[in-house]
Amino acid sequence: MTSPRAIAPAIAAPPEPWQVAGRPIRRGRPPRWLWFPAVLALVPTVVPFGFLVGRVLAEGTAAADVVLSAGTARLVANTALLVVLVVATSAVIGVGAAWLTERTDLPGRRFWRVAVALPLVIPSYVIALALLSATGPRGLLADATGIAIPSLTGLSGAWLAVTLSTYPFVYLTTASALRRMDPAHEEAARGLGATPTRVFRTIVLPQLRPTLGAGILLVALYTLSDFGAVSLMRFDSFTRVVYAQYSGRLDRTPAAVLALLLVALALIVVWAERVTRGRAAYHGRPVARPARVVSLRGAKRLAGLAGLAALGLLGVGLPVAVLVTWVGRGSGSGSAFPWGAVGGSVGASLLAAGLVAIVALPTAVLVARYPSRRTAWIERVAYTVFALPHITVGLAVVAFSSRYLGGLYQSLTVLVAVYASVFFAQALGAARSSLLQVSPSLEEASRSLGAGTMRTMIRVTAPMVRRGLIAGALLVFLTTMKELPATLLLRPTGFDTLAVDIWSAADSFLYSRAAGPALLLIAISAVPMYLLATRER
Amino acid sequence: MTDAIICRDLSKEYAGVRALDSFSLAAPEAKVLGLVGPSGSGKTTALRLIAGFERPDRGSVEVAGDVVVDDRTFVPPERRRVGMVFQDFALFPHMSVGDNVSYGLPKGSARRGRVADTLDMVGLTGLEGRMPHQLSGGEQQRVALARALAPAPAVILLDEPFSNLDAPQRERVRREVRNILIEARATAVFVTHDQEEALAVSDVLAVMRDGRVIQQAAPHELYRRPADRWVARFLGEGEFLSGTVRGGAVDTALGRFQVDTPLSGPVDVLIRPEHVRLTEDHGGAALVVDREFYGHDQLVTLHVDGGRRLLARAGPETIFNPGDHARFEITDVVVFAPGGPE
Amino acid sequence: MHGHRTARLLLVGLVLALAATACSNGETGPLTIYSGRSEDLVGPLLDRFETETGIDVEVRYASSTDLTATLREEGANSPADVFFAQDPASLGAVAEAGLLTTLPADLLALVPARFSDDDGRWIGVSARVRVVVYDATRLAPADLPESVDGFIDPAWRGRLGIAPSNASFLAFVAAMILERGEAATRDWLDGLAANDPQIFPNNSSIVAAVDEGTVEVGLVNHYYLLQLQAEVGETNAANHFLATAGPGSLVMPAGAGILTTTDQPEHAERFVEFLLGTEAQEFFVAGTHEYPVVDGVSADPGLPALTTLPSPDIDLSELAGALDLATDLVAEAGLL
Repeated sequence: MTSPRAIAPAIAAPPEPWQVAGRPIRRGRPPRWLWFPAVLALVPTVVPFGFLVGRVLAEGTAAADVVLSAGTARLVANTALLVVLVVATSAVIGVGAAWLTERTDLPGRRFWRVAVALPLVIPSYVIALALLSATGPRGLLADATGIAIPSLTGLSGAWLAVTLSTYPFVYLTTASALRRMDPAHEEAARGLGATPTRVFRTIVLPQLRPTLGAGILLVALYTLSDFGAVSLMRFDSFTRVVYAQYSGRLDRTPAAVLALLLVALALIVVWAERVTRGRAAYHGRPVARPARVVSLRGAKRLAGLAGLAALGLLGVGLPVAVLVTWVGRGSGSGSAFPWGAVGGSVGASLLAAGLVAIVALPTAVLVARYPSRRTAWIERVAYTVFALPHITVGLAVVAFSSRYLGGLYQSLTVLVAVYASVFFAQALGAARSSLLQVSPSLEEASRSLGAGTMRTMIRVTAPMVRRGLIAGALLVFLTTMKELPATLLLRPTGFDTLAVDIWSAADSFLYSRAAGPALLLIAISAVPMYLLATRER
Repeated sequence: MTDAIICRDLSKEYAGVRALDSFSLAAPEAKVLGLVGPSGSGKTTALRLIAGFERPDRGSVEVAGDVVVDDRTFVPPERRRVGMVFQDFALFPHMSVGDNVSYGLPKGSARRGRVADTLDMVGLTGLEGRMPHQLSGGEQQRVALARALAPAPAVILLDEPFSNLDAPQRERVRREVRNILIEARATAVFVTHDQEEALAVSDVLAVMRDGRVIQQAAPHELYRRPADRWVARFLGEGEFLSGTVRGGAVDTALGRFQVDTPLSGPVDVLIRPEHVRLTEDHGGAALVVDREFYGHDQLVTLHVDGGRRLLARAGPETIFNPGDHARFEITDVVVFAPGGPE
Repeated sequence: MHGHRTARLLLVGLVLALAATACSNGETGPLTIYSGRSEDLVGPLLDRFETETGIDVEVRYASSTDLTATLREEGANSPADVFFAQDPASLGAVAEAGLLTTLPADLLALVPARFSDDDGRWIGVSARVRVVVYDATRLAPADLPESVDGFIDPAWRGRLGIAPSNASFLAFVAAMILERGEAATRDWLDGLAANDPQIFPNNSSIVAAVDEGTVEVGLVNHYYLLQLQAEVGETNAANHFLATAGPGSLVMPAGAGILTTTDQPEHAERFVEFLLGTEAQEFFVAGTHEYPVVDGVSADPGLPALTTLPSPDIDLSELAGALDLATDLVAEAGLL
């Protein structure tokens, strides 16, 4: 399936490049212009963010009042609760599913591997919309079965929706780690009489800890930043309240303060990941033989299959079925095909992906070939920007651009620039890993034959890291298609995206209007997802 | 004869480690200069400084009379007329042989012809259309050489060019490459840690240790008159004894030998195995304790004079087995000032 | 080899695309309208304006509160030409910030004085009444309280739906502040919050929810139910016009103002003129089910006449002054 590095880039700075085993790293000074693309990519987020911080600090006591208020304390508690619940659940689900597909003999494992990871194609707000419209006394399930099913909103709804859309991160990283694990240790333990459970608990799980740690912390970050699902579920966590304060109050200071608090929480998560990651080995050694598989029979087998089926159903089957039903119901109400939204989504995502690919290559060269303290900072900033909740970024950019950017305010240029900036780290990570596989002698050979740095990059480096660049671009396309909060705040007048359409309709309980665009979004997102998956194998 | 490359007092430090320490070198035009030394002696660093992939902390480099590096100047690699052949060949895998070789050539009608000529020169006529992965190691080596030669650079640098080849290929390819370089009248500097290779391929040999050149001379000069014990040991086998120079000869425990040296008094004496003649003799003073047979000759380890070790080279006709006795005769010695680096 | 040329082409294409998008936000482009009224309600009307006058129109739909705050932040940089808002408080707030121009006297003369700004910076174009929408299958009008104060009673715990971020609700709270003062309003809001109201993003979702039975009563503007009935026919929900004069029975106009930052004052005026013309006024009556504000157009006979409705005695022009406080109080009560 898709490599964990591709889907879940390290959210803190990756290991020092010169720690890559066995590869002599050329040092030297990079040409000055090589810094430019990296700076260009990061400025659209960093500068407005800096201004936001300055503005909030200038508010002084007013800001402090917001921070110290009871409402804020409740907000922190709510958000923390949601994060803990989601993290715990997705860890259990992710690891469990990974174990089932990688370490047992359940039938249809190849199918399950794909099915279990599929929710990645479905944005959390679509899952939320499906859950909301299916449950409750007026929901689809109640209609279909006649049983009154309790409404799934608030904390329970948010918990379920966010878990379903984030557990694939844990699943993918864990499954990949299990595949790369050397079975010798497990075999030794079995030889000494340990049961499969004990082997898992004492041998496998400790080896999984670093990967699991990274996956879990990624989940935590996504939960903090999630806006769509949480707002539809009417659960008062940070993102929802920031948006409500921003659009519902005339004084925008509270929204700004809360937005920064949210960032503080996110940074704590990022720091925690760095601290606990320690000396994790990033690159697996090729495994000589596949791991021993546990045989599941009878009730256990059924239970395993049932579990995986439940995941597939809840994560993919239910949402798609619900959406299709709503489309069927609403087809009479004359909603036209959302050409504008499709064009907006696809257009903006293509632009963002293209832009990112262009700046990612020179930056990857800078970071991989000329590693230094300063380039390590570039990477650190890129990954931190990636970790920033988009609602805060959107807020910061709106405030900054309306004040200082004149004609560019509310323009597609700014929106695309912000997309490219926040998702830059994904492409950078992919390009960089790709580049590290290529010997630097190739580039030096090119230079010794008279080609300057730019010509070398285009004629020699780019073709060699094409795969990494394309994977990065696909990833950026995928995540931009699904993006919601920054788009809500930054889009130009008259510009529509599928994400905005879906969310606005669902927020006003207009499910049949949301369903069509939701299905379209899933269908379009499936394309890059499929390409990414097939490229890895 | 002008020098194609002149390095003056190059120094380079990495993270507190001194890679080059006042390194100076002069590579004569149209000759092959070998740069040899143990790992960590700084040879690759020196090469990379000449090519321009790194900047020296101090010192200067001239290529074909132009200063490419000094306190005020730094010419980037693409503008130095320096070609390079890399240890891993570094052929562009996504380009054909022809495209690889033509990479450094300016666009124009003359290109194709030059590519064909260069491939001829390296003995790979007609292989323009092949892809690098379709070639053997030796062939890839030659494409790398052709690519570097095609733009007619002032100098070609080769970084451990034969270390990526299998042992049986190595000697043959070595010879071929040397011939190609001579035919192209190229000035070449190649780096190796293998002293046998260095001696075989170079017209001029520079021995490096700890970041500087200890001695630079023709290979046979170096071999016969090494500057110190260390160079002597590095370039070949031999045993050391102490001796005293008196009146045009040196007295040692193994005899008295004529020498031509300005030294007098106590000295260190080196006896090379090829200067020890062995004859089968049951009553001989030497006891054979070990023998390595190379096909074309053998290296015999002897114990003489009450346990002293001596190495001797003998032809393949008479096999000396451990336990045999032999008569030995020392035909020549080299003397050094006593002390000095080991 | 090919990569080189392709890369260049892509780069050029990208730059051109970005440049094109940057240019397309022309200040001299279409008439930019910030509409605090939803697309559902007024979209067709704006389309008609475009067709009839040939003037290109670009509309930004968002809540009136959002747009008010946005306009205040944009200040002199705003690309907006016209602010079409749901309530006088939003308009007044933007006017107080010095961002609305004075409208021509002949336009202002078209509507009753109470429906436009005292200083002529905004003008009402259609009137609406605050009502209580209730589930007629479960409640009778006699079950409902006489005024909004009744909803603080614990008997109504969890049964009321409100949209606290909606501009009309905030205008309603501002009216309460004007009539009763800050302290009394704060008490009422606290009481309301303690009664577990269901929170909705806007009025139409409240009405839909009442009709579906998710919530029993809601505080909304009168026309949302009529809209729903026009779509689906019979509904479970019904409107109740409060008998007592108070903020709960507030009559107020939706209106428009022209921004000082406009680069197309003639087009902007034509738009306001259009809104006050017979066609638009009839649209408001038949299309959005509101009350007209100009002479010569009669209201829907099914609605109670404006003159019979007990509106509180407040100067709508002053609502804006209380708006900031209103949002703060609502937020402090924990409803926002």
